Amino acid sequence: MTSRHSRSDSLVAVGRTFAVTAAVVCLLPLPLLVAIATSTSWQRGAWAEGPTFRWLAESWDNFAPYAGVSLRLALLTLVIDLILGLPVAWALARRRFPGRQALYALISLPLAVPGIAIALALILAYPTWRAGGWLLVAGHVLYTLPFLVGALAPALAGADLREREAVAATLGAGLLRRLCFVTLPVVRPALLAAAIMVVTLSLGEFNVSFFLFTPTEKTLPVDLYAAYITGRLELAAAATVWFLLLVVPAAAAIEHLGGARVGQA
Amino acid sequence: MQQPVRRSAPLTLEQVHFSYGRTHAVRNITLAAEPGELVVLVGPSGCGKSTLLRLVAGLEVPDAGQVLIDGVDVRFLPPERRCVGWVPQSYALFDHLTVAENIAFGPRMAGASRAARIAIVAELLELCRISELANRSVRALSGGQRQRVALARALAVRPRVLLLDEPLAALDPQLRVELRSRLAELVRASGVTTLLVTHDQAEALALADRIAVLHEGQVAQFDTPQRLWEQPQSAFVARFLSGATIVEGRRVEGGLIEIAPGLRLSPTAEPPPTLVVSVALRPGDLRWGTGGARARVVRSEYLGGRYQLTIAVDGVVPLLCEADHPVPPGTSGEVGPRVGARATLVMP
Repeated sequence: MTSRHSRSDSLVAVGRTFAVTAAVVCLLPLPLLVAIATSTSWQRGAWAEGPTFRWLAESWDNFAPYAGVSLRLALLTLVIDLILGLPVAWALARRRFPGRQALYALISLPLAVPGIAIALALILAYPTWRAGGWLLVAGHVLYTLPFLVGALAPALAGADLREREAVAATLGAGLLRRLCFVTLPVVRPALLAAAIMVVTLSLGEFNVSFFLFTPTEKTLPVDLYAAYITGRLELAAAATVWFLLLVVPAAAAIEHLGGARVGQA
Repeated sequence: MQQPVRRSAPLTLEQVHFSYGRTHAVRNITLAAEPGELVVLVGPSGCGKSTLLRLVAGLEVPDAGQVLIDGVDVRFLPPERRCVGWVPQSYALFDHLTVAENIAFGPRMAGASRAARIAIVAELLELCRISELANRSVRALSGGQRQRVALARALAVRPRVLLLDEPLAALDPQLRVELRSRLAELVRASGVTTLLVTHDQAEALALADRIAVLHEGQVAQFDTPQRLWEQPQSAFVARFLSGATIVEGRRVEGGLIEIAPGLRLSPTAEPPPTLVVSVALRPGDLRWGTGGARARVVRSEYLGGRYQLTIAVDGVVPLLCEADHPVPPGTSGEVGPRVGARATLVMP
């Protein structure tokens, strides 16, 4: 007993060391980024002339319109994902039909295909859609849909949920009211987590967007890339700070919802 | 919307047939329950008893046959229009609602007014003796409390028929026996025609007005508990209900049945006019050392206060008998009927 205990203790210690190291490595750039964004000139050293908000202010003017495009795109992607994804998740979870496994594989396929390949395939297949930015929407939908379906199908397939729906039916609830009063409350955490995941994935997506954007429909990550390639380092860092302020709260919300769901089960 | 008087209705199944793919779950079942009667469906797992409840609830549609509630064929009515209460084995409580909200779910779906809902919830909380739990979340309840909430929720729609699927199986064994009689009281007090499914024969005998023993999707026998015990119509029913061993007996003089030379019992009923009859011997029917047939002990098991012996008697399948002192395996001796024991005849 004792030896097993000490072995698991040492395993935990190793795991903790890895986690801390990984966190430090990942988080270290963040203060650095803020330091760059608030220094007059990074070449002369951090805060050589005291901290400045000039870059943050300047980049905001540039950031705001692209943020608008990105947010609009993310929300449109979410709406289309829900319209397409909910029935698909329902069918995958509830129906037994020939080709069900094949459909599941097909839905998950974009996960395995590089974003560049998706983008090129879309350009070649639907060249005329590009003008209105619809190809960009299509690319984002293709990229995010597997995540939505993958998060919802297991929640809908639960035997507990199906039995509760059956009870609700015997208590006089028709299909629509079963959906509202039984199904929705049960899958709500999964649905919310999936929706936030779709939005954050879409906001941060670069590969597909880089190939499909149009001058009027340019997303934030594409603009960030341009800022780093062509502009001042301090401006690009400031834009990145704004971007993180937009995306991190959404990611934190996912964490929270995911945690709540595990806790209930 | 809700009728104050409970509308208990007769339930009739006529030649109902249902299969999942190529598996015949329910084969040609005919059953009838009187208004207010508590009918228990009992059988080993996979005998089709839960499927039968789902067919009555409308969660499955039979391939053939009729399901009549109050004389009306409801085969093509969806579950939400049958007015049938169904309590699955898991109870399937709505975790996101309180106890009172769970019970009010049915009346709410029926469009009952707020005042009517409050009245019916209060009445059922009272009936099921869970009034103090009204505002608790159902997540915080014990197994026995969950069972009563599920029952109250099903009764709140004033069902014409109540369907209980293994209502005691999710409880601890000790609690199970304790809550058994309370469940029967409650169901009888509600006055609803009830089908209750169990795999536990003791539960079936204790609860039922009548028992349908199911075997491989068919009704093996449908009778009162007493008649099933005393007059099993098949070896399966005798074995399943009482753990009996089925042996051949011969009619001998004095109206007695002889199982083996020296081992004779009087029968429970007038035996058929054949020389050889089929007899169900229950574990407690025979006693060690009471004189009768020569036997040898094969195995001995302590049951608390008494021992159950597996014994070999020449020309008979291994039998069970009881002894009140330990008898080691290999011992030879004599076995005879317990005082008052009779040979239960198995007759179709």
